[in-house]
Amino acid sequence: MGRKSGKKGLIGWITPFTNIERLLYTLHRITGIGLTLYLFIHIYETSLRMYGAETWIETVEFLENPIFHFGLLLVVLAAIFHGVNGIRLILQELGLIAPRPTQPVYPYRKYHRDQKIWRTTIIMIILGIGVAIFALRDFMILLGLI
Amino acid sequence: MAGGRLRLTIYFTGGLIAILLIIHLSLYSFWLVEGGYYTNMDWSNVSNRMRSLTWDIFYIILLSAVLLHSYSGIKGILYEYITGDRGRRIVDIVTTIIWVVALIYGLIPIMAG
Repeated sequence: MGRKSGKKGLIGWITPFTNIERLLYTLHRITGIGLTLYLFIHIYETSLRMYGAETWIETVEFLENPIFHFGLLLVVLAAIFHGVNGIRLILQELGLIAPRPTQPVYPYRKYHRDQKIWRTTIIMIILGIGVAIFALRDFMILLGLI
Repeated sequence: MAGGRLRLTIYFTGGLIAILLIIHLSLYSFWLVEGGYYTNMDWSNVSNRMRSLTWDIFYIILLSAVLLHSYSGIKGILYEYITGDRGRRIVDIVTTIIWVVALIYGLIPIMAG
């Protein structure tokens, strides 16, 4: 079997989502790439501290505007999703919350896996919303809304 | 999907990041105080923290874990679409250079104190 067989390539990321895992897979990758880009910017931005107080204060003041606040909000939400979904993947890999994925061998057996994945996903969504509310509170304080 | 070693690296560093990031984000959180909000992001707090060896170690571990995690993740994605040996070697070289430069760039301010 060739290395490329059965692969849809990048199109596979936006294939109509037939199940929740496909959606989570795509979002996990998109948020991962986005967070990597942010990481490089963040490393550069924090390294400006080396040039002293004046540069640091100028940088912080430059970032104090609604556009960067909105960008930071997206980064925080992406990080929350990526983190919570990552924990789900680790727990699943360890077989703690659902049977580990196996090769589909005929006759196909329908595990209770789908149900368990939904249950896990709902728990993770609740956990994610909890963390997101805490993060949003920060932004509301920053914007003077509370 | 990334191979065994790559995936284990992603999971291990991912778990570590989840813990360290909670500390990192709580530190820069905004706390309501009378007449406004309080944050640790002002210069005196930042420079004090950077003179502390404990925080230096904390940030070296966090930076290394985050860079290793993103390096493994991005390489895993690229490996799926670049399947030839020569292409993968190029991916290895290019990603390694980018991430090592980022690591050095990130370590210098931490070490500088």
